[in-house]
Amino acid sequence: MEIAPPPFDLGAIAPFLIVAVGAMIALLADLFIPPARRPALGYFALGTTLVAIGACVWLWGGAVPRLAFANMIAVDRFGLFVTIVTLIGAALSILLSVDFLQEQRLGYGEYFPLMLFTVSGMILLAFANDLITFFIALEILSLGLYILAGSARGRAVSQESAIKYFLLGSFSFGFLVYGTSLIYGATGTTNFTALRVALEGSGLTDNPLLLAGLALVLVGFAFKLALAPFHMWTPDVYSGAPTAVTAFMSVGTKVATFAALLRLVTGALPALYADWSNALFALAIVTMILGNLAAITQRNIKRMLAYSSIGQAGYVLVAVVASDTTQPGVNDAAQSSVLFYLLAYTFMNLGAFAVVVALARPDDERLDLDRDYAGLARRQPLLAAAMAVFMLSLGGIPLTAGFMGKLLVFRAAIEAGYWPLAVVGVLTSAVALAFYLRVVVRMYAGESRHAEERPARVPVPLAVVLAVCLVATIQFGILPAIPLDAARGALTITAP
Amino acid sequence: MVDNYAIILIMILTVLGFGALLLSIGVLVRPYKPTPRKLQSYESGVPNIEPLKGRYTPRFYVIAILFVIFDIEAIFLFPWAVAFDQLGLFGLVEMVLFIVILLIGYAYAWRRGALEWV
Repeated sequence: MEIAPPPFDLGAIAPFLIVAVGAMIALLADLFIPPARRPALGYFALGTTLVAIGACVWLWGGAVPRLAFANMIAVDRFGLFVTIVTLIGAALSILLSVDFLQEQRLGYGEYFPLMLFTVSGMILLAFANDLITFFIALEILSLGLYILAGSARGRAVSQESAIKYFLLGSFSFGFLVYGTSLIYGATGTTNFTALRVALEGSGLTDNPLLLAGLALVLVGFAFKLALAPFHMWTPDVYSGAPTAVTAFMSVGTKVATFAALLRLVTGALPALYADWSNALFALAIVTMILGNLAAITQRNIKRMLAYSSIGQAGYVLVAVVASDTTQPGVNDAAQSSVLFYLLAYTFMNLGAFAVVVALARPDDERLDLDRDYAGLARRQPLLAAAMAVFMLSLGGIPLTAGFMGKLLVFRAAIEAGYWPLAVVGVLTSAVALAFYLRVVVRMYAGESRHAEERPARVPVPLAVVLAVCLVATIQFGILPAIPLDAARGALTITAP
Repeated sequence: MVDNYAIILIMILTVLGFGALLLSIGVLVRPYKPTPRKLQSYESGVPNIEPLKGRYTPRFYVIAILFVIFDIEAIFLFPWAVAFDQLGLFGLVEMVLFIVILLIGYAYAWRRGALEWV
């Protein structure tokens, strides 16, 4: 018997290969270069992500969409868009880390190779067209993050963060795998394309096995995306992990996982729209309310940003709910708003974390809102101004990327007939302003506790990150056409 | 359908019965002279109750993790070896790639001193 290997389309997974090979080279290089030269690995990792972005641009113009590796991988503009956003987030996080690690005396260790491995998982996640590929990608991504979260080995909070993330992450994988096996049991396939074909016009849509499988898979997703009520790990993990790592995982993981969620529910399970949209509808409402309300009471900036990221995930979820493939116009608006929001979120959230990183001192991370952020505008006017822009953008004030994102998301929800989601979204946005604006007020009106000390010097890589995030946040708010056109061009979730 | 399950039922009963038989033979045949020391879970080992806060070396874990990795590698090698002549050159190249990636990990573990038992 001859076993025919699947066609070997390496070009299709070029971005993934570049990052994975780059990670291995960095790992080997790490063994042989003296510790003092380790920052060079950061720039190597940065170069890798930039080359991978180049590969994405090359694929964008090439023969997409196409399926590769026995339909396990779908290379389409949707995946490429998400990959580019992820890679931008990764590149900025790497720049964020280079000086941060040195200053906090964390040691470089395997930091950059692990980051690249994690990014390779995110890329694979964006292209996954099979529940198995999806699972493996999520596993690659998570294993790297577990270690990165604990990379400040000497600090108990970092260890706690890693252990908590590892235990709950593994637990959530249990749900995913069990759900996958039930879906396979009901339909006989794990492939997204085959699933869609199998469910079209079949009597399977009421199959309890399939619905239970869908529910379990959604629980797994909710854990990974930190949607309430599956969010309990987020504040502890985000605040315990080194700030640069938190910045990276709060954007990259969310972007890639949301892409996978959207591909699964609209690409593979449009026949079950009534079921998953109801489930996600409830999750979105709970997430928006809980994330934003809980953020109000936080005094620690990292915990506040953690709850804020929960709330932001709720807004993205609103647009996912509105992605009804039977109404092409509505669906396009909803999906492009997901992509736009993820892009905007990447810049504004990374920017906010960049300011937190800039303020950290070796002996004290300076996380307390009352103590450390009060009067910041007088000591460091530029940093305070940047933070104010990011906070206003996260809060959804006009002329910022966050406002455009929310506008698109809520409009999509109303067009799809989900006005309760839009109402809750607008109300919780108003509540959210309370804690976003409080940071701004503290910075501009408070009395500084650190008035006598010299302002922190912002290293060049960090200044680059701040500048990029600032320009993008404002530019996407005033002229959203460029990213929005790209997002609209990226809506072909492969369906051959 | 029912017949298939009947076989499983017979097996369950056989296993339970056989286990009960062996245990009861043991009870009948063996001498029984308990001492406090004998009644501990691990009669000849270290005391089995200790404060949990004690420190223990992570070396065991490092070695165990490395063992698992290379054990899994071997599991992947077996089906490939069985189907080697059908997979041909493609399979060989794939497997060499797989092993090279693992060797990178091996080199890393070696250089970092994970294999040294100091």
